[in-house]
Amino acid sequence: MPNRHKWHIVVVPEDDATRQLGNGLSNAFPAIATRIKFLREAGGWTDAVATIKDLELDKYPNRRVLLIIDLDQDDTRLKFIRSQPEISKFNNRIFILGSFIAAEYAPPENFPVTEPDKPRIVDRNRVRAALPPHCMPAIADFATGPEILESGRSHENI
Amino acid sequence: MIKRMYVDNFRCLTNFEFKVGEDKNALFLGENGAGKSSLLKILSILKKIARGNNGLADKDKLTKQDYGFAGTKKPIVFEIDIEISQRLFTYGIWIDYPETFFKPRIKKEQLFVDGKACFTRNLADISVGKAVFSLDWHIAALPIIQAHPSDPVNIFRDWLKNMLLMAPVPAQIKGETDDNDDVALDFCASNFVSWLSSILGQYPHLYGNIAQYIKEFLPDFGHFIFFDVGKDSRELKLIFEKNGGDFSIPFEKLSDGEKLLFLSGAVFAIAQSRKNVFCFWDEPNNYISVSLLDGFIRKMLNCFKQNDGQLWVVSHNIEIISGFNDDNSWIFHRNGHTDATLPLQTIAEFRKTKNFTGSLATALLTGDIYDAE
Repeated sequence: MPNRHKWHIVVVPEDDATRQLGNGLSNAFPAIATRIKFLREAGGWTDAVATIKDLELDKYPNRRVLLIIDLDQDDTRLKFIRSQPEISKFNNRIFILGSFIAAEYAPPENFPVTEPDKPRIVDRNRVRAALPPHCMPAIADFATGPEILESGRSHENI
Repeated sequence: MIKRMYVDNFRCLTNFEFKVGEDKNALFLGENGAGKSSLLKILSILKKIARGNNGLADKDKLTKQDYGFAGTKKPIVFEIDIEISQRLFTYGIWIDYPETFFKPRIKKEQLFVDGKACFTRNLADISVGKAVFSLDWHIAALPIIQAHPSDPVNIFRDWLKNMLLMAPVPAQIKGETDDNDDVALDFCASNFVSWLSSILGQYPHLYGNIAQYIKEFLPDFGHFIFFDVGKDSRELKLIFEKNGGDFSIPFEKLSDGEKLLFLSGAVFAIAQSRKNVFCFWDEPNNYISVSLLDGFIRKMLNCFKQNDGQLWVVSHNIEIISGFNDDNSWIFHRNGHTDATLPLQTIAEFRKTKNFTGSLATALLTGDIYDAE
């Protein structure tokens, strides 16, 4: 049986930065490395959402999708994406990881940064505190959101 | 793990230094002829020296054409810093080619551990502690110095000997073991089956790890066997399962990509079961199906990261490149065939200096990423 008929997850990153966030995520789950398939960067969050249609989720019941998008400090975007028909239809198989930092928590003063030019070392409790509840990534079956965010340390928005 | 390499006057590498970043794994990008594979060539020379093949004049080691832009007026210099069990080993070799000579000569050679000399050499004179002896100046001293297993010279040599340096050519991989084969995996992996048989003899527990790895990529794979085909030769066969029955396929009859997946399974199993494994793989994307590539590179990277190994990869393939991040992807730049390779830059540095925020895939396709100005 080819692997596409077994449990697997397709990662759709919005851009280079979110792809690297996904790299950090896959590093955290070595046991399923061959079950994670990364697509090319979609180019924008609307393109990432549009990619869902090509993934034929009705044909492949063991396929899960992880969208990694930049919420650009827009706390309505996640809700909007969730309401799209192609996503709401497979709500239990499509997960969204959004990088988000609310303006009131924006770096540099509030954020633990070692050196300005180095990847930022994130204090997971402070990230947890910084994220509004509805922006917590809905991928509880993988790990908690802050751990995933912490893994993708190259991401500029963290 | 390798911390630093310094090279001078070797092919296009002039006064070239590579310091490993925070992530010891690395991806090397660059246009053809930029110098990526020269780095692999240098490591293969050092490996051959460590394995006792210490003459430098073999055609597969050094010729006059390997001297860089300064020609034979300047020596070739190789320096390598390796950290093993929190000790820093620094080895250097200076190889000149006097006009009246027919083969290269070692001008200087030295090994230091944590700043303390294990041995030093000036032309034919070798100093080991207070002892001084002479040695033919056409051969390296590293492999001939007598050392106990726990001696730093031996630890360093073993590390170099066990480097996995590969640019595999599946069509050249023989399907049977051969007693005449070297026990070290050769550059194009032609002796892979002999090497596999040898490592399974030493570490039988690797069998299960290899089989499990292959099954992840080829779900109908069952197991593999070595089948006697003569007094001194054994053929490698893979057994696949279908509808409760088995059928076997000789390794030699596998597709090129399947051969490489099997080879990667052996590399994976070694990196998984031993600490500090170093592997330099030149273009692993060749021959492997594009749908398997990202799973393959992520699995390898995970394995090397978790077991303190070090994986260096040269690739032009976007699926492989996507498995790495901006801070462990290094760009080789060279302006032309009459110019030396420029100092390496990570993609993160490239983004910063060029104020580049676009897609890496696009920059690779357009070649903009190789625009050094």
